[in-house]
Amino acid sequence: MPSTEPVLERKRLMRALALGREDRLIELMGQLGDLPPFEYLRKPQKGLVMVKARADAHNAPFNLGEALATRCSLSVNGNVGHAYVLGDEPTKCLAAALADALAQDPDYRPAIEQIALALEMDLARERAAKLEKIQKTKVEFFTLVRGEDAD
Amino acid sequence: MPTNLPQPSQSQAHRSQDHRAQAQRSQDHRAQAQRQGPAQSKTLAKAPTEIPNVAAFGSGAPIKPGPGFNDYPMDSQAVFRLALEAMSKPAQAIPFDFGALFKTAPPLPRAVAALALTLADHLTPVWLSPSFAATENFMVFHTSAPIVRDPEKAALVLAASQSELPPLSLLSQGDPRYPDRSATIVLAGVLDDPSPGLSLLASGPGLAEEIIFEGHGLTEAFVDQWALNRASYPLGLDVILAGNASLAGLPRSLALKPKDGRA
Amino acid sequence: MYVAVKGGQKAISEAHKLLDETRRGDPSVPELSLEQIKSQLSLSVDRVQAEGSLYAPNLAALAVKQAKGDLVEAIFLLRAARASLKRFGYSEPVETAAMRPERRVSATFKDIPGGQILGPTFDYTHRLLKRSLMDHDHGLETYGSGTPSFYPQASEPKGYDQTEPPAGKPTSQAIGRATSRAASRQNGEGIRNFVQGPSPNPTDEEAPSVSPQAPPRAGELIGAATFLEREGMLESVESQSDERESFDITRQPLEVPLGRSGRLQSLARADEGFLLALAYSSQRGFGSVHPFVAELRLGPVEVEFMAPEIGLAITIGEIEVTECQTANQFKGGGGKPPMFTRGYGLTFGHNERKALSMAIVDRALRSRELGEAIKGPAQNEEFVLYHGDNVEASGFVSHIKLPHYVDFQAELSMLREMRQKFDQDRETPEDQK
Repeated sequence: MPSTEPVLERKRLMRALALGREDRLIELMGQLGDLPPFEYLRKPQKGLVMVKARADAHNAPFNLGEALATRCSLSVNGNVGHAYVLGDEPTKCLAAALADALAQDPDYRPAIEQIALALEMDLARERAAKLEKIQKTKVEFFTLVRGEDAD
Repeated sequence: MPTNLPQPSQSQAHRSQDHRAQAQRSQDHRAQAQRQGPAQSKTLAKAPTEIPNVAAFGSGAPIKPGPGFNDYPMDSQAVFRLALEAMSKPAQAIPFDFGALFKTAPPLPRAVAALALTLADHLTPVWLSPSFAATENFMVFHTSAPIVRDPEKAALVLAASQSELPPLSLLSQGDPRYPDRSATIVLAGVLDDPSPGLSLLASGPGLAEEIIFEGHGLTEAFVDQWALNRASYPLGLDVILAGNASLAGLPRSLALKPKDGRA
Repeated sequence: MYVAVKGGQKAISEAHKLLDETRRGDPSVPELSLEQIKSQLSLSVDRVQAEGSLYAPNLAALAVKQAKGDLVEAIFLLRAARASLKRFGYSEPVETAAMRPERRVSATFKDIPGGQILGPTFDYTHRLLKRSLMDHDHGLETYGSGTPSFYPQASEPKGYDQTEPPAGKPTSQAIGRATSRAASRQNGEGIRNFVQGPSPNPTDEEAPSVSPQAPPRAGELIGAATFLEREGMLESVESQSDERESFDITRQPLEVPLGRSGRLQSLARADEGFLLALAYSSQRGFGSVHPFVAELRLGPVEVEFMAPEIGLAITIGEIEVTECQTANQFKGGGGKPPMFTRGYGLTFGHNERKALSMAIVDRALRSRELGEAIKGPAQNEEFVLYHGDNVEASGFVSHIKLPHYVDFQAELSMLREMRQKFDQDRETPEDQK
């Protein structure tokens, strides 16, 4: 493993960064104050991820189609950070890679964890608001019993 | 770029003034690749004297693969064009300034790295010869290529020298319906071999008449294997000889025989 | 034989300028923004993504704009953009079971865990043009609400619905009462038994209470198809374990017979109209598919990617998909018992008609493996897979517009010769032949 941090936590951090909104992520990173200089290992680069799906939702995988994605790798104070996000998002990707690198630095880890939690909260709130609207369209069908069937 | 995000540090190591100047003139790469005559290179690409900090996966040490091409889309196009030319005009050293493509020396010889970055992707199984084994990190980071332990599973074989090249018959020969799916070999340590080596005669598609190919470091054993490779046409493999500042192509259709002596 | 034709460079250049002009239209009318197209013509954008085979909403919106709304042209643009990009690799298979659906209906079971959610659907609209969506700043609201001054004798124009249906969502009660009586008669027994039977018990697996703070957790939205499968009445399709890596039509040439994974990939990018017609033909008898929609879902799914340099499968974002699972009558045969067989459709974005048609055609193409007679084009793998890609189809059909002058002259010349001979033969009296 490239990072010495527990695998699960890194996965969770990267998910929060990827699903977060760009403007929010930049805002939160901005609150960290002056950040140490970084060095690119790979500038934000556009590419494709072939999305796989499962036939019948649980069967053999098939290739559904490609999704546009951006990736970036850099190093800060000797820690390597990576990010992959869907879409053409060089700025968001850079911010996410920075966060991933800084998360490996004990000085920055707590702050980055807070950022991840804030992004998760935003996501939960957005999803809940959406769900509330959707649930209004929930329907209860009831079947009609015809005269001759009723007894 | 929002101002509250740090900018990349300006302190990237530059080996020499010339490298930096050339990195900015990416137009020149393409012009050079297409010129018939010798390339107008300011400095010859030198073999890397220092390997960037790389560690094998799983060692627990932080990996820091060095950078790849300066400008991936342009550089890979130029290298592809060069490889195409080398295969179309076989057994001739086509000059090219590989040094201009890399601000930081890659862990592989520049020509080998350039070909690997251009030709390999996540579906290209790559085999690294023993001297190149430590560059797995770099390869995977830049190409996502699966690195295979068994040379017969490789589509791209990177060999540091002839002695490290597996027997040609062992490598993937292709399939009668898709002969192009055989392995491609990138062989270093031959073109710039200072020893006189075998003098060979080359003939075949791409050559109007037989030409002399100063075999550079190619051994008799290789030439014998090559004859068998050619006999299995359309199957068989193709070889790209990677020099410090040139490439030469040996497509499977090429006939090679020693200039003097045996037929 | 193709012969190159030169010339017309200036005319072409002018044609492109004219194209740009007509694309823009009247300069006094505000220009369309990509944001407008993405959010207000989202179904166009979704179709372009699905058939362009590239999930990239901004690029798809750009393609729609650039193509002046010609979606097949836009699909071509997006497919070309896709071909210019480097591929990082394959994602982990998306988990549609973990989807938080915006829309989820089942035509086979009335009560499903999590309930039926209509979502934003056209299904129950009355298909009447909505005056409320018309522009107001062009004075069109005067239409029907008064007579123009120069035509004082005119009566109120008819044709538009004067009493519009109420804007907003259809009422659940109203929709609920629309359930077919035939279904209740034939399936009522079955469903009652099913619902009250030992398994499944809806209360055990029902989604948690509907509160904004507690969205259904992944795995709790059990598919409607699962119940049939548990009873053994819906086939569980064996994984095609002989395919180590699913077939990728973007990396290997299409050949028939093709396994189901390659077929599904082809169908996912196939033209909606083509699949719709094939599905329809199949339902009408040119094939053996009698489909029921076990479940139709629309919503976001997370995409995970294993980057080798990271060494972990990480979530990189989410995409919207439409998924359709069908259950199709199978009377048995080839050693297989009578049961329902499966069809599957999945597309990028909101493309219900496409997902439905895809599921029907998927099932039709399984006729061979199920030992059914091939009766119609929808069951013919070569016919379906080789003609479904509208970029290919449009390319070949459209190319005949381009100059074929030399070929034509050659043919004209040949036909003239043949004609001469024909005429001579006709004129020659019988006894001199």
